[in-house]
Amino acid sequence: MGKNILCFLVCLAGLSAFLPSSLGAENRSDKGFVLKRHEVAVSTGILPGRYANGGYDYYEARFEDNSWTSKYDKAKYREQDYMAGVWSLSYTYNFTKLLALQANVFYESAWIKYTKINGNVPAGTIRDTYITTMAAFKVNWFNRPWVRMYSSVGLGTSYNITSNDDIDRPGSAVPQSDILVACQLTPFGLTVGKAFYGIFEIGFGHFYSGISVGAGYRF
Amino acid sequence: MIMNKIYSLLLLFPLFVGLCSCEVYDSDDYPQEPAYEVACDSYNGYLYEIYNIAELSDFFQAYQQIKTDRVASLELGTRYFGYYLDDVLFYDEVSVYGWGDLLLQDDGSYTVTVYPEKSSETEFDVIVEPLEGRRFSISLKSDTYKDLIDFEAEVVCDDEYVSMESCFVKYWKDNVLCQISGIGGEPVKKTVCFAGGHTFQPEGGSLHFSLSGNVVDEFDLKFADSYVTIARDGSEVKCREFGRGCYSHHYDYVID
Repeated sequence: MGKNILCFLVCLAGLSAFLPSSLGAENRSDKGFVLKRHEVAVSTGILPGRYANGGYDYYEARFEDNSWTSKYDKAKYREQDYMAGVWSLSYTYNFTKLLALQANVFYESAWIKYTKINGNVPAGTIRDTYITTMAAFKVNWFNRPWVRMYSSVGLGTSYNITSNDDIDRPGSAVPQSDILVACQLTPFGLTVGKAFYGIFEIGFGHFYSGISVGAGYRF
Repeated sequence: MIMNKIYSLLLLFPLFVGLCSCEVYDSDDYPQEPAYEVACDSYNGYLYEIYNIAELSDFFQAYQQIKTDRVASLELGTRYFGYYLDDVLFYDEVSVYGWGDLLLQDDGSYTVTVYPEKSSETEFDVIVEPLEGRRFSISLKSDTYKDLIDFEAEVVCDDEYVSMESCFVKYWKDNVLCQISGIGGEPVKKTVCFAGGHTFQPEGGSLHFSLSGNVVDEFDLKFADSYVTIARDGSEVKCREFGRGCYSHHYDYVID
């Protein structure tokens, strides 16, 4: 029992040494850190969130029944799969050096292009796109002039648009849309720079699952 | 000034995304041979069972000579099937997981029930007639499985191989009638389990496939030079090397 309490106290001491600035008074300078209220940033993630969490809706839509007939039909076409990845534009308002609110817009898209092998004729495209708006609550728990570290959690909605051309009828797709819930958890985020800065994050969710990198501007 | 920068970012964003898109798969990088998938389905579903039936029959024939010696019988069974053999060996029947159930009939023939997908939905019964030596004739028991119309083969066993000297399999799948027949020349032979390994595919020989119905195609499935090959109209596609399973995913393809 006594050993456990000692261990807890050591951990607490370590934590308090790691987070001194974030828990300090609002106006105290953190070794020269100057708070700027606004931030805009562009970032991308690996893996893209929708791809990592269930994949795209279109996949093999044309030949989905896995029958021999479908396999032979599929072999008549060249299939080229493309991914645009996921890209985010964000605006952050820093209420305090500790707390901030972020508004994000994500774009994630992927598509498959079919070409009829006999004659090299375009045979259609199927596409799956997600445009997501998300609000994220951010805690900047380490603030220095060049380095900030933070954690954040976000919740929003994705507008999903799928469009599947009928085979051999390019342009015939009737886009269909859906609204989905989106969330993102970022246990660790790091920015390096002053006015212009680079971003590195580790997280999981519908923006990305894995890592994210980007660049931003504070003003 | 600041707003201009934000607008610039907004305008450049779609262009940036377009430039960053990349191709992640191109079917042109892989030979497209749907016949290979047909061959895999047929092999998994039916052709492989011919070898199982032959091994069961070969064991059972040898077992009949020594069945009163229970220790020797179990040793023989273990040599054939390893740990797949049940501990209980009856005089007139044998059941081995993965191979099937064999039952001795009054006329000296065997009835063998096999389970291609290890489920009762696709089980079917065949009649095995022992011929001279370690040669067996296999034929389908009538009305056994609705999609399987014909299933005949003549096989010869030795201590190393099961050789399929002739075969004719006819069945429906996905509104396609598939007929598989042996081709003269080298028999389609596979290493037996007790010869040192439970290999999945034959090492040599060819089979002819004829498809009709929703799909019309003719091709040969060849086992040669360590490759499973589909041959059609004078061209050949090496689909995969031996020993890599028989699954139908595109990454099993090997570029010729």
